[in-house]
Amino acid sequence: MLPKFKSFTSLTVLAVLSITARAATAQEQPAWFHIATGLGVDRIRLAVADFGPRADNAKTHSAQFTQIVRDDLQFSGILDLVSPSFYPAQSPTMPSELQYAAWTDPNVKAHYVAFGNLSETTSEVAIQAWLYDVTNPSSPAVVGKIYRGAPTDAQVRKFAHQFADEIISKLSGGLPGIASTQIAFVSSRTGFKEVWLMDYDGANQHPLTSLRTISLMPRWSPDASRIAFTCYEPLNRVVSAQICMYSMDAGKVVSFPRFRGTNSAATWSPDGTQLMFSSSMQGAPDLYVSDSNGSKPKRLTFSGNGGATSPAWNPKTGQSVVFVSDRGGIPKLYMMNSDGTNLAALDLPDKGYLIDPAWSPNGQILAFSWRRPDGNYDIYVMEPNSQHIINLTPDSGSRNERPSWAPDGRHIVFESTRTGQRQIWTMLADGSQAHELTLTGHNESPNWSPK
Amino acid sequence: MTTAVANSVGSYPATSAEDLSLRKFLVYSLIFHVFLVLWIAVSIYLQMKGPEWGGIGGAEGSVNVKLVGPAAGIPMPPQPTVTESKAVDPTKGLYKEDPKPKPPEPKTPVEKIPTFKNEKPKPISHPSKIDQPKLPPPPNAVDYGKGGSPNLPTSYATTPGGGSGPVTVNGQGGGDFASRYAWYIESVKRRVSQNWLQTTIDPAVRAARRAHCVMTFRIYRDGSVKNIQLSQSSGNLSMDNSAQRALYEIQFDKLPSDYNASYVDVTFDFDLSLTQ
Repeated sequence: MLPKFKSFTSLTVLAVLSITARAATAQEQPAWFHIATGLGVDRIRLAVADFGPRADNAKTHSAQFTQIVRDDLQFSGILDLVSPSFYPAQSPTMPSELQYAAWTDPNVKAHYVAFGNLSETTSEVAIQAWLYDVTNPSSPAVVGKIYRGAPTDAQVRKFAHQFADEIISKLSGGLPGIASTQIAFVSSRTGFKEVWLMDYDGANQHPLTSLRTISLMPRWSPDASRIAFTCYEPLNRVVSAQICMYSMDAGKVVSFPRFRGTNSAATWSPDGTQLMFSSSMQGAPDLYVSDSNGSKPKRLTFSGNGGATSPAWNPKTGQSVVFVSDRGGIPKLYMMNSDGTNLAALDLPDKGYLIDPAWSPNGQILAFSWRRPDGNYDIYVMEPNSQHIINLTPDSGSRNERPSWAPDGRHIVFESTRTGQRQIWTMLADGSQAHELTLTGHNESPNWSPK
Repeated sequence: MTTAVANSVGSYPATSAEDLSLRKFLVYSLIFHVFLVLWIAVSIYLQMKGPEWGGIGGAEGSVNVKLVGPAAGIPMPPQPTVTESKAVDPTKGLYKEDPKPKPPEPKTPVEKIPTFKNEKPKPISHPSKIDQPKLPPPPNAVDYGKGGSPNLPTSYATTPGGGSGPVTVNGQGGGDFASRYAWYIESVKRRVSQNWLQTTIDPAVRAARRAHCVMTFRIYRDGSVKNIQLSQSSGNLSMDNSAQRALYEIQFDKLPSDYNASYVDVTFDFDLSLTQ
């Protein structure tokens, strides 16, 4: 029996070997291609056909799915959505129904078409979704996915975001889509300033904390599992600003050590193991760095008369920190290494208040709000190497403050008073496509989740 | 006398009854055997050990090493130095010796691709420019260089997809890749173009719009990039660096799942004359 078995295994090994050998010979030679850039990059023209409901009961969800995918792609900033009024009369629901010529017709001129279908039972929704390159009939599907889950609005919304992210990642060359990200912010809708959460498009707004005091400046940890914020929690009837920590996993505020004096404006190290915050535990407010659980606080700055606050830790290199200090009289930006050495002021012309620094995810561009002597607060971006500065919110006639970058580096969320009330807005990082996300109450201090 | 002898003989066993026991000899023999065993052990050890280190001959295959001068790392007494005798200087002991100059530190290896790690801002020599965002172009605007074919190099086209896309293909399978996965090539181009910060190029070079350099790299199945090389320099360092930085630590999307080979080679032209 044993030798037989042995020969059997060696036979299978041989068979497997021969199969892999065949696969290897059938394998294509690695390809080689040649690209040139210099031309402005062409905008992708993409159409999202109406997703076809397989039965009448799936109509609302298929319409919802189609609309959310369109909104996400429109907002992505890397493509132009072909207006649905130009679409061919017949919407494909399966790859076999896709008529390439109808979509590349000069009226539509789409490069890519997203389409699919949706079927629903009382327990499950199933969505088949594809993306095809219609300029290239020999090309296989760029994206082909099947999503299955509970037949709820929230789940369909989630699937739509995932499909949009998949398309964006494929077409942008591996940059993440942000349709599944969230934004933490501070709202006083309940009468107290609490930390709230919403989807990146403003949907699904709900409070996270209910401390019934004042909560400020939420900051996501790099793995999006925790939010550090500034709270005014009383202890023995003494109220002081402290760092508080909200755990997304636990769904509640978890304990964090208290320090003497005022503690605020926490920011995370790129690896999530350390926190930097402003504290007056030894007198003047200066920057301290501690482990992410608050232990071993260590003083980094010695600002003398002025304080130091609002640190922003370079998320790519982890080596430099930009912060705000008024040691020179007015609040300005300073840059130093993350161990406190190599301090230098970022001297910009036309004095004014410079606050709220925020690094872009690639660590190459700094966003901040700047009150120039002649105007309101506006959001600016700057390349620290060339000190080339761009105003993203010119002529809005209002206060635009506290920028925070989306993980794709293409979007910025900020607070603005352009509608009269302080609300949360998003825009592309070139200042275009501003959207208001919050409409009720006072909302401020947004922070975009890192994933 | 005999009696005495007899007595003494007769008394012998009686007087030394204890001595008759073999304990003493047992101890002697034990000691002797211990020494014997030790001697055998030592001689076996010496036998097995072979010739002593440094002895003549040695086992076959031994390595002959000729040392010329002291071998590095072996602590040897310093060579005696002959110094001129001097009259004793009484003041010398009152002062510390001058610290010896430190040996030069080994040079850190030069990083091949420059990074943005050094973010210490340059001192401003002139007021920064404040740009207002450009007005959106009218919908019928024709971009620079796109109005007609004369301004376009013959091998580049701008529409994604299509056999004559902005792609030059070579080698077996390559043509297949370009026609099947034009969207992937477009996505690579889009991503690199977005990463290419032309503001880091010398303003004079940018204004002249002449510079052109070529990079080659390889994209693996998981989207990682290796073998980044400058295959044709533009002749201007800032231009070459900007192209290298555009590819630095880049991670593309995974290669198309139905593409069989494990990588693709890419030749990427960075051409300022094509800039808008």
